[in-house]
Amino acid sequence: MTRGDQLPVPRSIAGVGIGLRTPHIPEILDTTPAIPWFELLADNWLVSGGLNLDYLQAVSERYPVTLHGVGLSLGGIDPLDLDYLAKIKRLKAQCGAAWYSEHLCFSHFRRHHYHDLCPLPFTDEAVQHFIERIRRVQDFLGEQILIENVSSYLSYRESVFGEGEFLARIAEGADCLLLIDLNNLYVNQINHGQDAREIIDCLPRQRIREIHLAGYQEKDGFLLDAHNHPVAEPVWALYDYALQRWGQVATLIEWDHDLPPWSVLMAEQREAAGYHASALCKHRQGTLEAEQS
Amino acid sequence: MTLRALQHDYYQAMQGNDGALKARVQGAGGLSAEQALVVYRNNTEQTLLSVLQQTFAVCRMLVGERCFNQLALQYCRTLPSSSLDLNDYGEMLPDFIDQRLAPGDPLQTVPYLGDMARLEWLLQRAYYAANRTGFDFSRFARLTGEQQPDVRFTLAPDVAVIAAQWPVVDIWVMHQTDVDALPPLTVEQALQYVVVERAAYRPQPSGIDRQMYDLVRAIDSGQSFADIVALEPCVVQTLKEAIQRGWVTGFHHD
Repeated sequence: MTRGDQLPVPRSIAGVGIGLRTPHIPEILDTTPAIPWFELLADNWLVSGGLNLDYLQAVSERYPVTLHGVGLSLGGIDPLDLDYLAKIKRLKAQCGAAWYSEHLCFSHFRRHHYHDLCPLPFTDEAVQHFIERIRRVQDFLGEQILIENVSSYLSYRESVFGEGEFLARIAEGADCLLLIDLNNLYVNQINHGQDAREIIDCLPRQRIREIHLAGYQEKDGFLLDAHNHPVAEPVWALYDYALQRWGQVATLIEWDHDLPPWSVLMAEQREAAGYHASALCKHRQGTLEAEQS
Repeated sequence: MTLRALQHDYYQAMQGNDGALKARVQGAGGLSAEQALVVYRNNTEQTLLSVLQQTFAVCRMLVGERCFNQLALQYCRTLPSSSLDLNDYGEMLPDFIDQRLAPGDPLQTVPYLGDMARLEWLLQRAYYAANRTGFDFSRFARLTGEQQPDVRFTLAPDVAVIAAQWPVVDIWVMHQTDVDALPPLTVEQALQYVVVERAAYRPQPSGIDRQMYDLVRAIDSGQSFADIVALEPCVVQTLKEAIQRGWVTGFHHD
């Protein structure tokens, strides 16, 4: 709870934010850098005391924040964990997060937790399954959530949709919003031969609220969505393309492993902000040309 | 193939039985289906390994990186995660280590490893525990003579005790500095009663006497004030000290 038991009011999210990681917090609180917003990895902040609770309060008092979850298992076949969701709801109110996002994946089976984002096939059954569960989550929270596309190292032979159509059908059916991870799209492009630009073209613009940018790792024969490298050149190019199609969308720099000094993340943020700033005129120009033709 | 069957097959594949799922998936890029499933198995193992490395940092120093990772991966394969919260992972590692301390096992050269793991687990729990509340002395003073014997005290959420067979506090303190500068460790077996608490955000262990250990254990197991006094008539002074230190933060009575 914040001082005086006043719950913070959600503030607007715009521009390029950074995924908040604990080792960077002392420097952030000391220097209060001009970052427009931070994303909190929700599962790391479901705490009832200690340093992390005070960090949560200090950061959310100074910056607009959003919540990003990895534990809900939206695609799982186990019942939705409403206790977990109640904690997310409390955390969201506690820090005044503008929105809550989750992944299109499953992460546990019965009592076995993988702590990973496991993909489902792009089938009608999976679409309906996601729609039903996302609707229940939104009813529970009383608001729309954002759903994120995941990277993968396998594809299912039974898939009948492309990833773009899969995402669009779920978003429309569940009436939810989209968080598009461009690094994941690029990783899947290399891993599965899908065309990331085609996917961008077929997503419903009006539902896209956030973009994620991160770094992959090149492995023997595939790309690993490792979140331990700078954003790669092809992903910057994809970002430029997406911004031209969608206009200015709130964007996040994600870096989870082998954390670099805070200054490295700031440099990544500045680079993204450059693309973001020029996106408005490019988008307007593109819209104008489309109208004229 | 229903999603239920698919996720069952996926679970089997994560256990190393990937026959059913392998036929239904294609690996990414140049990977075979089998190799793709290994990537997912590794992702989970590396996540759990990283959690154990952070929680049991001194254990890791005591046995070295390679040995610790072998032990931790055996643990991951024997006891996969059953909680959504990664901070819950590793609770059984101390017992897992104790079971390994058999004649002929290399871990036998570090006989205090299980006790150290037990201590580090409590330190980890203390770090994430809820904040303390102050003891309500005025409410306690209002209890009647009849109510007092039935009182059951509550511990601060961060406080826990262990009885270690080895001087683990001393070993732990030594390993908070540059371990490369440490002389070879010679440890004599000696019973040590230990309390773990969080002070100024940082969990700390310290040695306590037997009487304090017994008191904290009795409170933790829900014994009434009358039961505790019956065990040790001089316990009132120890209880006062525990309250002053903030280890006992509340009470209730039926």
